[in-house]
Amino acid sequence: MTTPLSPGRGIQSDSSVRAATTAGDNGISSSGSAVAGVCPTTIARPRLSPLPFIYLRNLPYNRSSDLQQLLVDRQIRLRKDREDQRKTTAAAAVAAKANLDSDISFETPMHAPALEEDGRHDLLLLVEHTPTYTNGRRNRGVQAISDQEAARLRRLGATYVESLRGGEITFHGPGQLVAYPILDLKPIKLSVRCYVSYLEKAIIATCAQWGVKAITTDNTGVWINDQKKIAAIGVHVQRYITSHGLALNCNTDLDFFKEIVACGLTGKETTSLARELKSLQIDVGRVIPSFLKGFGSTFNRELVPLTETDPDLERRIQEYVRTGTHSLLDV
Amino acid sequence: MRHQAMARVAAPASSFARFYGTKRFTEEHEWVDIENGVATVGITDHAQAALGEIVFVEAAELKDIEKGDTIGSVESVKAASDIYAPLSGKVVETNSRLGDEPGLLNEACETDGWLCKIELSNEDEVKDLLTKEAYVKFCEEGH
Repeated sequence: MTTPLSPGRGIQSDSSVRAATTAGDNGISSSGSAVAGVCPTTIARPRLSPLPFIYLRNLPYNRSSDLQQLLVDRQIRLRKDREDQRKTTAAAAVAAKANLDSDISFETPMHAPALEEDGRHDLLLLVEHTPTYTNGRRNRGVQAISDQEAARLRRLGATYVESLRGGEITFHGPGQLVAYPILDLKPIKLSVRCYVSYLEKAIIATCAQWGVKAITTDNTGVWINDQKKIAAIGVHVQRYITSHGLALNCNTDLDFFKEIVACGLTGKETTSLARELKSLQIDVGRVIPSFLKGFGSTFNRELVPLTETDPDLERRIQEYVRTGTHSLLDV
Repeated sequence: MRHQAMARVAAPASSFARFYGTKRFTEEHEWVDIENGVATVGITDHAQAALGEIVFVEAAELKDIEKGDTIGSVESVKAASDIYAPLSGKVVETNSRLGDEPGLLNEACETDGWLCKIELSNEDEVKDLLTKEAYVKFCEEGH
């Protein structure tokens, strides 16, 4: 389980969840947004590291999933190293104190390098995929779509992939901005529920910069109204580290969505910034700056290109994307 | 195997182990209740609140596992969160009610909403788990 909690919110969020569940039992749809009110209004950590981002175009879905898993494993390993180092430092301090107490003069140990958790290995992957239908975790294997259905989707020119994220079937392809934040939820003190709510806020802030008013509804994701969805969310959390994320339609070919019941919601339609603004010129490249702004202000993080903060990691990621061989776990 | 494990867990509270066997916790927000070498595992009330409305529970596979292995996941608000084995052993049973009633995790995660039972292979690992007091302190520190 990976569910960090902020102090003092337990009881409050508890009753909210119960209330939402009860509402659902009565046939009134319960929702993520119903409980979003108890999420912190801002990320109250002034000392978080800047968040580096990298943009990868025409990335096949499977390669991006594998890349994310490598980056998650890397984060978990680096955090473990820091924890071990903290323990060693603490033990050394105790030993040093004991030596001082016994009046033997030893050099005071050097102050440990800054080891507090500040999200220094967080990373925001921005991706534009080749056409792919993906299904969520609960629809993998025996519960997945039939072979015939998968074959039909492939004939549309897309691949079909089962993913470890939450959510159900959706489409990714050119013209859609996909963001995969690889974030440690511990230092930013967000619960899984609030993290998803923050992703929604970041998307709404992005749309607002284009004059498109977007909202949350009873169904997770970002909508223009009850019927029209503009962005989908599907997240995977492993030991507090997030992967997968969100998909915002800029000028996606929306016909791909007509072939599926997107996210398992019957009777809803999918829209894009281009459709809402009646301009096909709104492509991913133009939306990225507004997304970075929206994401940065929502998560209270300064966003910087990975080439500036860690050119070596940038090079290793690019190499992996190109060749499929990696050195990402050599840290 | 299933029924054997059930019978053991449902045995009357006569042994010292039962008397001694109170809940233990992990930093991954799981609880563990051990009786006669079998650990019942679930997620804590803190965890279910942090996750929000739970819509799907991916059951653990019935097989040998090492402490720290992924044993299924729970999904809430479009987020799948992995569950980790708090102890090593063999998963001998999963809670079949959760297939149809994932909401049981919101309503009764520390009782009827247990996730799986693990036949322990190394009871020494139990000493690494948190007591209730230590877990409450861990949560209060903001995790």
